[in-house]
Amino acid sequence: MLKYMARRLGLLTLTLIGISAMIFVIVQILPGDAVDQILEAWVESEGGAHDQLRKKLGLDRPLHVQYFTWLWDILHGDLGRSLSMEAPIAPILIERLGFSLRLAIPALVISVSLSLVLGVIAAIKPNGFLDHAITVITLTGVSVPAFVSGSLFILIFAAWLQWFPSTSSLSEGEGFFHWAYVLAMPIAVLSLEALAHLTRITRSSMIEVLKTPYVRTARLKGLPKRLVIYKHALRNAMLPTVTVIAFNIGWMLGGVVLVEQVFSYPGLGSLVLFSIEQRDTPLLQASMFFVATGYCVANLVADMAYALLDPRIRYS
Amino acid sequence: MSETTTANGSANGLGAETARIVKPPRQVPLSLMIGGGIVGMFLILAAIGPYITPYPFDQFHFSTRLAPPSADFWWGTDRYGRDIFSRVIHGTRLTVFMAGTGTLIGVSFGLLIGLFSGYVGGWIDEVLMRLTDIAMSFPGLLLAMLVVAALGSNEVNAVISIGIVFTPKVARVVRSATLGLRHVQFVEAAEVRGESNSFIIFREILPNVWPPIIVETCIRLSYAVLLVVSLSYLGLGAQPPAPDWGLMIAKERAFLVSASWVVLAPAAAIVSLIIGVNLLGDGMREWLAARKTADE
Repeated sequence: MLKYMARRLGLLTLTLIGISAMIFVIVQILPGDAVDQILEAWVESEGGAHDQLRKKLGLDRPLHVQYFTWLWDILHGDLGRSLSMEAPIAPILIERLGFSLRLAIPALVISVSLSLVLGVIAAIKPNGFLDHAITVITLTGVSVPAFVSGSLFILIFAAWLQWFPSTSSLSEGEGFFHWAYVLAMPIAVLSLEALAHLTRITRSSMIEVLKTPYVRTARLKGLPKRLVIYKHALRNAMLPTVTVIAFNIGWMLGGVVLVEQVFSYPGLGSLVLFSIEQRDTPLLQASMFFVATGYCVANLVADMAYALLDPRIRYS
Repeated sequence: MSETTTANGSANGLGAETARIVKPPRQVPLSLMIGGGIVGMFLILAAIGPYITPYPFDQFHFSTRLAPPSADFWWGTDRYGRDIFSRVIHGTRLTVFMAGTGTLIGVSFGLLIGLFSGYVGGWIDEVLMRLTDIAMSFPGLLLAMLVVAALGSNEVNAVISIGIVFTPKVARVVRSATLGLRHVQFVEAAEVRGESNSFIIFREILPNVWPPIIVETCIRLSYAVLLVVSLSYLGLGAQPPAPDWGLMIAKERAFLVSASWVVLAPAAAIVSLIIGVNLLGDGMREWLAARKTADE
């Protein structure tokens, strides 16, 4: 297990270096550089000012020098300064991450636990009434983009029923219940789609497992059906689900962008979008790297969990 | 097929068993027919849409702004008095074309890379796969956003970004299918005959990896529609006044409560297209799996 972990950590480091290079290259393609962004507003195109600032920011150096300086600074926890917010990026990212996690973690918990229940119910009687009902619901779930379901939620629950607020701005110092009230709709939208994906996976892997000889043996030796399903079958059926949970974290990061946009919520996703709109290259570079790192770490954790649950993986 | 038939049949009693055997083994699944029907309808709309709409998509009617659905404007009008029915129908072509082209780009490049990487193997395979790892360590939507941010927000770049997001994923699927064929007899026979690499890849291996590629293409197509509408919703795809569905929802959000049809009409179009593509993909997978077992 230790050897496996060491190998995976080594691969993660390589991948992260690759990611940083890729982000750096793509961001370099952006038309205009940081200096154009800072000066454009109030300086006519006088060559002198531009060159001076470029020199001050170190943008006159060769690209590979700039890249390695950036990488070196990241390793020291320095993510640079945002141009549009005129502040260090690291604290902004941490704050926005906190906001996004308040959506993502409850959504993940809700969708994972509900999907296991729904997936098992559907798999016990494939092609039964409940299975068909759950299939129709999950098919709809995966077919509705987050911004569409978000808009519908606002229309139904905020405008017509007036149960929840239509925008999700948080104010500090409010209690837990206020948060739950404000965040209920975005969390519901985010959970719904993850729920649909996870239920489909759980259902199909549960159906596969229920066909295996060992499940039949357990049933034939007289164990109660409930015990066989929840103790024998579910543990194996959960393996693909664990992998999909990791994919869902990545998917959720994308979904978070849309949900945050719909509910005007100040999380990581809206920060990325903001940096694109403002052409704030240091902020865009840093936030993209931050998100990709989080995704890779989540994948690593899922793989570890998989290896713990299924010893065969470690030796392949 | 025979094994599953007896397993299911004996559970349902003898009558059900005979009924199952009598059924033609290559029956087309219902989901494939419904999905195909829905997608076909959207394709027809994309082809003839602009000729059948009552108004041009960008014609203003200032006297009837935000009008509810009526005989004149079937799905109501937006804030400039543009006919929403006409806009949604016009938008079909845009969405279908963007999603289709993006998928086509991703599947073509992914196919080439996957076949090559899987067949050639060695360090080339290792390098290519590490590169796909890196590209896939971005959540799809965020990678697409990054690419569009770099190239500029418009339809063409949105399509390119979808192609870039899909290429590594398709390459992975094709590669693993290719690996399975690397040491089968007809491939080794071709090698012994002294055939060129490209002959073996395209004439021996490619015809045998079509089923997983078709299924993967259907899955990709549904993600492509999602990506197209999501990007344009975020302002990173088609630009106004294009009648793009995602863009319509984003731009008319403010009137969601007072004139819900401005959002509901494009939303319905998006959801029904994606449901259609998903059904098509599910049905296709089921059908190909059934065909495979029937062949064996």
